[in-house]
Amino acid sequence: MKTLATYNIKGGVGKTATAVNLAYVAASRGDRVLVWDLDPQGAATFYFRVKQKVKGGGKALVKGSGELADAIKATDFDNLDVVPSDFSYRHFDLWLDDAKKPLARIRRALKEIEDDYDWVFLDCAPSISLTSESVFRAADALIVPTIPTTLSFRTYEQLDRFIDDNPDMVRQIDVFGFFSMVDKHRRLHRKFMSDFRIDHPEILESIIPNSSDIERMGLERQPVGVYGRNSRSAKAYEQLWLEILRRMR
Amino acid sequence: MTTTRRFFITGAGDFATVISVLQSRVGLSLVSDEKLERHWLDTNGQLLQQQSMLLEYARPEQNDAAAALRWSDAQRSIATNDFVSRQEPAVGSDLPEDAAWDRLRTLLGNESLTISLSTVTRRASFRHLNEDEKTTVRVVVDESSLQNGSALPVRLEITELRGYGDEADEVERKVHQHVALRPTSQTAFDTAQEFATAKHIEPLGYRVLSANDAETKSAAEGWHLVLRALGGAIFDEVKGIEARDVEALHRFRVAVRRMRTILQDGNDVIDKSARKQFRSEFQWLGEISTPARDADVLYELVQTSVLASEPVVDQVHSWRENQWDAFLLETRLERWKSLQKGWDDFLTDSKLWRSDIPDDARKPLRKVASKRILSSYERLCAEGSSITKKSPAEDLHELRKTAKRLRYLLESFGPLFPDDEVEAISKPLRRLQKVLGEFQDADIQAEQLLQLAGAAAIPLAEEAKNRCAQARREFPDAFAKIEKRSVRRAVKSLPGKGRKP
Repeated sequence: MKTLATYNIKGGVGKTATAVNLAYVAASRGDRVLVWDLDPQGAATFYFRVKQKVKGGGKALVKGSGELADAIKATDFDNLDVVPSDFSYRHFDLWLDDAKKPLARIRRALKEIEDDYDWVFLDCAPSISLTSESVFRAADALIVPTIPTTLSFRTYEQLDRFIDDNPDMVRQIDVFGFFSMVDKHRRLHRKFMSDFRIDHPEILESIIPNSSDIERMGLERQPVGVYGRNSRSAKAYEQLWLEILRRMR
Repeated sequence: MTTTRRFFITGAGDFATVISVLQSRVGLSLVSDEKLERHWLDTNGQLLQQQSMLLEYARPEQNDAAAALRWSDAQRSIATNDFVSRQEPAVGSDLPEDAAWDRLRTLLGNESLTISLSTVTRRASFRHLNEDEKTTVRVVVDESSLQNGSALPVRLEITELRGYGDEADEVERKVHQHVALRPTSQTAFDTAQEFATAKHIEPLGYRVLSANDAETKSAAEGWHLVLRALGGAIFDEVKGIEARDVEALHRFRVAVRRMRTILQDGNDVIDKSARKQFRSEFQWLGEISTPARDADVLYELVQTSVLASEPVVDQVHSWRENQWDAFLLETRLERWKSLQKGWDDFLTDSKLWRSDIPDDARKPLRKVASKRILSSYERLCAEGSSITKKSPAEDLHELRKTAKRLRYLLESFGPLFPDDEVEAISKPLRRLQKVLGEFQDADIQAEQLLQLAGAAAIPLAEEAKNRCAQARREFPDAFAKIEKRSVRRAVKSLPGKGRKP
């Protein structure tokens, strides 16, 4: 089982859309996939039409008294399950703070289901906190959607520095940054992307366009690949997934 | 991740009724209802089956609809594609381009795919949605037959999506309330394979005789063969009955009635004291199973009738459960076990089957059988002629039993005689039985419904009374057809007409 976290310190960059759509692509390829919605906003949970409530409470999962397997809900799609968000996740940092070995908590919770899935996607809330650090410890790779704007680049570099500066806390981890919500008609987007690639050649080639198909996810409450099977956005997520597979250690 | 609960439907009416009940009573949403040709594909060396995998190709009957391909293992669906060519894939490169199928392509290598098993299928898919329109449970009803026409048991599968066990339990509970089910661990493929490879078993043994036996067998030998087959048919159903299988009980009762007829008409052919003993024992089997069967019939009526309110359905359901409990209690009695043992002893005791003991035992089978059919027919005509518009319902019930007796004799010994003659008698007899059956069922149901559910059942009881009255109006015409000269001539010709082997 490999664990991937869609993460960015900044909000509104397409983390949840990335987690939901990549998970759907992986499941469509026949892999067994779980999405754990760690964001108290519960957008991934909403997209899968699942109720935003964790059986037994989110706290029990963090404390180790509840089992992650009991919280899992199937989505409407073969091979794709979700651990729904819970509004109480807003206290996630506090729970971790109270727990022994807080950074290992998420990893330990995932251990019990490692035979059930090929891929786990952790959909994280925007911030850098104890929760994020616990996610870094659990994940094999971070998938970092990045909008081609100055503020987005700034947060990407903050993350990059954080990982470099904390080799003890963040174990060996791949970081897959990619451009998200790109409008290629905008000169500024094109310029930011080419400049950024010079400083960060590791950024992925695949680009997710700024598209109404992706915005429609909120209305359809399904991954793009379900209602827009042949759309540009669906194809873009497929390309992104294939590139991540190639780059995985 | 999902788990599937599999059942055979053992009673609920036809396919359309099941669909309607699952929607209106269980609250499921119909996703599709389609007729299709279904093929399971594998390599010549059965590479997929060896790895517990199935590759199912389904081609809808409609010419313009795309076919579907599903690759699964014992636990899950690995890949599906609902938009594949109407020509089944023959090699790995014919599989969808989608990356999901690359693994299968790799697995197959250069091996080609062939059809290992096929069915003609009508399949209805449903889903249970919660208030967020999230699918929580999937239900599939599958009515299939092999390509040689052999019908397979109708299946119902409830797929519980992970985390929605309570919803699946609730759906299953409601389905059970309206559709009689028997659990099975078999997949659709397992069932089709079992039927495709199993020997064809003659139903209830009434075709154990052949034209050759008309002259070559004595009456004792013929009766022995038929009784042995009927005994097997009865005791074979015990397991199904213990699992509360409605259809098993029905088949059991039909076999018991046939048995009673053949014993009854086995005077001067079978040992006198054994015949008396087993007539009484099989009569007991019939009596103890009647309330459960009546309850099944009534329950099927209420669960599929739009006139039945939920309280009436619940009332009848719980009454039916009680009748079954009482019946199953009887089956645990020592008498039940000794009957089976005693019956085996009777069939194998050569002293009891010496054909020189009773008067007719050594006579040719055809002669004795045709005489019994003739006398049964004459009895039916005599009893039927005495029925008038004012005759009580009991007289028609008695006539129904007499008609059944003739039918079972014809079914058991019919193969000895020409098809045309047997059909000339059977056709009007079937019509008469249908009318008498409808009359009796409706008559009893009207009364039972009022007793069980009182005022709530009045609309249903009224409807039953109307059916009863209609059957009574149809009776004179149905009976006149049995008495026709051509039918009488056919019956009378049987003693002299052996069927050409």
